[in-house]
Amino acid sequence: MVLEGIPAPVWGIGLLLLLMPALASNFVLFQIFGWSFILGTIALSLMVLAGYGGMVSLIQMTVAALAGYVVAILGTSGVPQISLGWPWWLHIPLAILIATLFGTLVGTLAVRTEGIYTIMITLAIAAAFFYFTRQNYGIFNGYTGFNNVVPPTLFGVDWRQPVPFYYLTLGCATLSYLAVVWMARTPFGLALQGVRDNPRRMSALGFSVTAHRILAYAFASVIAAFGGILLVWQNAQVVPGTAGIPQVIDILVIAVVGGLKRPIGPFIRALIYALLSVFSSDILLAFGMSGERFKLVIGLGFLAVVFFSRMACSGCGALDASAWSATAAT
Amino acid sequence: MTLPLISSTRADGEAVYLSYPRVRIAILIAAIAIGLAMWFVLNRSRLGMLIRAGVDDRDILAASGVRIQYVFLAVFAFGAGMAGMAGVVGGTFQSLSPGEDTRFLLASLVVVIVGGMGSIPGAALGAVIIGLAEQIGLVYAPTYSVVFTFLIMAAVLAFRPQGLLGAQH
Repeated sequence: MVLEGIPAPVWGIGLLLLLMPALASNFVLFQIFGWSFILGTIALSLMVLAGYGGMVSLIQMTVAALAGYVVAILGTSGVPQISLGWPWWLHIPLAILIATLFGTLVGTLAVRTEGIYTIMITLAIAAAFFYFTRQNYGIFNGYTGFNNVVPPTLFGVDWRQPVPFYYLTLGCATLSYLAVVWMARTPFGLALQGVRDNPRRMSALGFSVTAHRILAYAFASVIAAFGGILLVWQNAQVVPGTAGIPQVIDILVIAVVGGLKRPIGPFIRALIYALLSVFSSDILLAFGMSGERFKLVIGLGFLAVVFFSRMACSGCGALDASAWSATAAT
Repeated sequence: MTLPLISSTRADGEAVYLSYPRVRIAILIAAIAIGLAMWFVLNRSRLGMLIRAGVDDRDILAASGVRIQYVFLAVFAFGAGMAGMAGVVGGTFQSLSPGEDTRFLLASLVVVIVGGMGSIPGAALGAVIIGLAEQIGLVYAPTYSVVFTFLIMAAVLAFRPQGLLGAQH
């Protein structure tokens, strides 16, 4: 039943991705595809909240970073005085659990607000997390963070080599994508979309608007936690800057720009973002301009798309949610 | 400027009076004056009436012939001007470094969330609360002062999501 919800081009893309190691170099596999799968997973969690739930939440990158931090603290890392060195089958599920709990807690704070308030509150909590991890040295090791956090060697495979890591991230991205496609067609997903469109009618029908929204936050946090663990494994380190404000805004750009309707969107945009980040300095140098200004290119592109695209604004248009639901109720 | 408050006593028993920089008093008076002027314009003038009406119901206001785009553009420009002024004063008075914009962003977000949106007395109250909490926290628990402001914000959100003096929608 899930497979009906996947459009045909996605099947083609999936087949191509399965065969990619035969075509691409190790650098492309690890740095570009691996990174874009990870960013796409985290952006997918934001898309679940914004597209299906109507809440633009900026906490997803923080949830992911928290999962990465818990893996570093409970597992092995280059900071032996803090890391506990627990086995993988203990610290990975615990990391997902703790990150999901954090995301759900933020959700309970944020669901009583709507529109611009949700963005402000989640941004404030994300910034507070960044400053807290930067200043706390007992648990989070402050500015230097944790380094040398690598995946465990399971089943005789070193998962940080390019090809196994590529398949690991591809598998996680596929699972998250299928989970979102499945969720959108369950009674919970349909009720969530109803809550997005018209909360007053849904609560008049007897659905608990707050409970659906909090559960959506929990679901999105699980996906973000998976992305966060993969992110810390790819970078082999986790620092406060992993969840800094620029990274939070990057996830927002990847998830929101160009529409919130299709779950494949975040992955495609994450691939474009990864390509831009890696190659735009070369492109700028080829044009004779300074190579450090690549973020300017991304920012200008974001502005252009938001300005000229209505679909992007309808996704970000949680600002108009109150006015829209008022007019839709009449 | 020396105030008639005694902060400590020297070894020979003579009192040391607390001295307070005059520029801080000037900033305080300027901020209060600007706040009062803004409240007056927003609540007692025709332009303020247009702005409040535009926030509540934008379409009807546009239908009655008001160029609401220009009104909001003017409000945005005025807000940016105020932020710029605050940046000039704050930047010359305190230090400025590449990470400061995030810190100001966090502080202003928390102040508006605590005080309530659309309410100038709310912004003043939120600024006083958050400013005091952050500075007192810096003295007594330097590493966790940011957490204090965050805890206050979370408490306000848990009990009064629209802010302390925010309008109930």
